[in-house]
Amino acid sequence: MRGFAVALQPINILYCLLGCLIGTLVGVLPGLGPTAAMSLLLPATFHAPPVTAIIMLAGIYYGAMYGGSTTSILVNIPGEAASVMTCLDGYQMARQGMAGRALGICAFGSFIAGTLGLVGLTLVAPPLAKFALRFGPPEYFSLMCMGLVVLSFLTSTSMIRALMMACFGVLLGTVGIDTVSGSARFTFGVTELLDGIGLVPLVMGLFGISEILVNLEQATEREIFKTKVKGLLPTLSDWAQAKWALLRGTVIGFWLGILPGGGAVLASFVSYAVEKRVSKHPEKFGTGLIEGVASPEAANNSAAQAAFIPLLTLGLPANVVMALLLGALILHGVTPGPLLMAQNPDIFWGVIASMYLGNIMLLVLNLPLIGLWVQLLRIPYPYLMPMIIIFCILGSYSVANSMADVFFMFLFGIVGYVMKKLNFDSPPLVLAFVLGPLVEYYFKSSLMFSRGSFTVFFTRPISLICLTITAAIFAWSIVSGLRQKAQMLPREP
Amino acid sequence: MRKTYTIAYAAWTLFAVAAGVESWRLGFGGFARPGPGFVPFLAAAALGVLGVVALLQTWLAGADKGDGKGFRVGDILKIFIAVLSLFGGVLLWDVIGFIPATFLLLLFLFRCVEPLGWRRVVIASALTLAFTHILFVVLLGVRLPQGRVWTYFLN
Repeated sequence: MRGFAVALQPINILYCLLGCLIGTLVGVLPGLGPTAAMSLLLPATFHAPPVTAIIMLAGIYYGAMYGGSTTSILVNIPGEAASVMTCLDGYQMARQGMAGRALGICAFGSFIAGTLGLVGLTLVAPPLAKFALRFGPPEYFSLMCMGLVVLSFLTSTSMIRALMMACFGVLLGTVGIDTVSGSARFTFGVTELLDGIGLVPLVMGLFGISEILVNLEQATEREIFKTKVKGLLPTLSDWAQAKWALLRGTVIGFWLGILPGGGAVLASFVSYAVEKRVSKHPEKFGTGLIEGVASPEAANNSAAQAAFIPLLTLGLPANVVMALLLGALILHGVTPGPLLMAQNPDIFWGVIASMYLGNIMLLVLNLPLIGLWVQLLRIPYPYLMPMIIIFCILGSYSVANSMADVFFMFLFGIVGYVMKKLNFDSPPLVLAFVLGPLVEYYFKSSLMFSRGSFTVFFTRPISLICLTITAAIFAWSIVSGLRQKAQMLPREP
Repeated sequence: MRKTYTIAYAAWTLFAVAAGVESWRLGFGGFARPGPGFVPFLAAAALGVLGVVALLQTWLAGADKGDGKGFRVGDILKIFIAVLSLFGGVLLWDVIGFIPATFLLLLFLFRCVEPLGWRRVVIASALTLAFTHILFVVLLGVRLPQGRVWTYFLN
């Protein structure tokens, strides 16, 4: 109830609506994902109280999950990565004149899954936060290592490259004054680096500017399928066909959303695969099946809500968007973790309650405004690109009124462009950058506590479990790599 | 792609060596009393080891040879011009101020990067500038450089 009292304050309702609107917009427009949009708008939230800022940023994230499906269905281009699977059957439905049905089941499915995900979040978060009070520095260190390794394993094409990026992220996170010794690290006489590299220039460069540079190479052609969008309300037979897909997608999305490195993208892929496997007619998937739309959409929305659980209870971001939210909370002077619920209940419950409201707002926004979103899809990219660049520049500058931040953003834009071209993933880098200072703090504290003995990480059960999982993932990635190579070798006759 | 990856992994390994040397110089300390360079050194060492492993993989097994998108000279030139214009546009803020510098930058981006007609270019630049000015300067109160030229003439 306390959460709703916070969420229902007019300023918070306004910011929640704004977040949902912007989220839907970036979801609808291909090329600008929720990470870039959140980093763009992060400086704009500095003037607002922490709870209001997080409500808006969270709204952008789950709003993008809703909006992403529109482009997938009407243009066959996913608005953001989590909507890739919706393209398969959604676009086929649109081609067969069933765009309204596809959009309708997406909107209602997203609402149901998002709300169920939230119920799960409300139920799971408090006991988990209580349990996390038992964690000391060794447990946090091991948990963060596990998070980084799981993310590297799940989200990238090459484990080695992802781990390299995680190491690079940790290194970047150490730039600036060391809080323990007071010595300047990797500043090379540059005064602007004494406070460290800013999260906003780094993320805007890696996700915003680099995306624009990549898009400069290839002209993006968008052809909107010319069909009348009608019959948005799903019929009884639609519900009958999609109900189990929705439920399965929600459950899969919820559990994969909690996992470090899981998130909405993985959830939508897995749920689509599961749906195809359990279906009586798997061959029809990809030809315009309503289950093929309902399941991934339910999964990505449920996962988007579940991803808040590790962030709010353990202070551990499950994916790059959550890492950005963690950065935003720290910038606002709030430390997420098991004490958040006790020390800042307004933020903890206020954000959760706002998500219930946000889900309703998104349902109301998505159905009647579908025509508007379709019109927005017609804005040519050449008009959007310079606008996004100026937003990035101003957003980066306005954090500290510093030209250096803008130049750092350009620099990371170039780094991000090269990384994209060579398939080096940015999420492990950003997550490690955000977690780097925490990893360092917990690692040093653990060693000082144990007087330099590494056994501290193996003698405590929770830490041991996390490190065992980390080692198992390493072993699995090496074994699967070797197995792949063995399969590629020519067999003897 | 194999050559590109060899260069990339070698560059990462060299970067790791440089970072490791600098971290060691900062002070590694001991396990019971870690110094400021302790964690950066370990991160650099891990990066270096991974870089060498990746390099060996690329050489020995031909891994990643079909991975990635690769670079084309035409694209690099386009990217170089765009980045140079961004740096130039922002550097001009200090000299002629935010509004004229951003307007010039927008004209360039609309006209040269994605060719549009001059009329459209001017209208789109003016509208974008007005929108960003209202959002950042009027609503969010961000203080943007006025330009030394105007300050000099006005004083």
